[in-house]
Amino acid sequence: MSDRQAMNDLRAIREIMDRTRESTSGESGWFSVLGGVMWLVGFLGNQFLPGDLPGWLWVVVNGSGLLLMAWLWIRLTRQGHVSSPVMRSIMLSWLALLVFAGLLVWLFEIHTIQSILLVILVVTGLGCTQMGLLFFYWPLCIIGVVIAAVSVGAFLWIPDYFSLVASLLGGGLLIGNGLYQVRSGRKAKEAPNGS
Amino acid sequence: MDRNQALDDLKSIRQIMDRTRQTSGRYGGWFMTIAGIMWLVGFTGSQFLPESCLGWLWAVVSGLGTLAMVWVGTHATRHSSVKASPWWPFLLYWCSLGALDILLIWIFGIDDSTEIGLLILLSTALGYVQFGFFFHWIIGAVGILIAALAITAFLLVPAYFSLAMAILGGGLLIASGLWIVCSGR
Repeated sequence: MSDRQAMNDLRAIREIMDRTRESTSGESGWFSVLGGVMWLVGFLGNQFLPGDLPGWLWVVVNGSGLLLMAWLWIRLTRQGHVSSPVMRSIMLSWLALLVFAGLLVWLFEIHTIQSILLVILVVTGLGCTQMGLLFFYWPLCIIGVVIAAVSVGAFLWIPDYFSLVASLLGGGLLIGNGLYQVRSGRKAKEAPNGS
Repeated sequence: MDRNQALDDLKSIRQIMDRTRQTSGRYGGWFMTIAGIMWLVGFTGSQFLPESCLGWLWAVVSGLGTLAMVWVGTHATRHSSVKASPWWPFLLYWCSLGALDILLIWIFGIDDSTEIGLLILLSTALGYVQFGFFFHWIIGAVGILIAALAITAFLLVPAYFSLAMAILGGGLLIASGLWIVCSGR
């Protein structure tokens, strides 16, 4: 591959990425908002609800959250926003992280709810960091590192308030990031040279 | 973005990916081969050498392996003449997996060498599977096979876990790496 060919390829990729970002980033931010709301409600339930209620709340939150995500996915796909191979790879990558977390819990016999939640939080932090690195989106990297660091800190030093911290921090960061993406996407479209 | 524009973009991406794969596939294959040799030597040592030697063995194997990978990476960058190759996000990607392992070992107090080996193997497999989704399905398939082998060996023959991973895991990495090198040519 010659220098000139490589530079032409890089320029083409950059143009395609710019167009794709303009057309998708705003709308895909809603996935982050939805994930954040699920996280916020679920962990708040863990902190304040008694007995078996948190478990039932998670079932409801996960079920309705997944349905809403599927609805959002179908809606955006119909509008031509997210039907890209990259989006599929991102989804499969998160699925792999979910399986990885499940394997850790199973093989290392992690039994307590707090420990299982910690594994989920740390793996989520890892996922955010990896996606940020792969797509050169640094805010997501920082969110990932903050989620992992604060979760571990809360687990070790203030275990009684672990769920509350996870709820406010993880949920807040995901909602904030999602709303920022939506706002940036809308701004890009409203700009004179936006698509 | 309209449909025709999206289709044109996809066609361009596919052509670029094909060219890049032909050029860089060989080097990716060499990385896998080096990792395979590291596993073969390190895990064989873990099976047969006394506990006290293992730290040194893995330090030497990891050091030499990293040096070899840096050499291949430098050679690849020089050969392709693309100076702005973004190699460091990939390095940080693998470092993040390593950091996760260290964090989990520390928090949950994992001190059994077989369990530590299993954790490292699973996170390596995760990295391969994720790379497979983005770059080439063969890498993902190797990751899934490594995870399956590691879990099977850990559950069924824990006493021979290291030996199984040396021969099967290392062998798989070497074979698939060499296959990628040959197909790149």
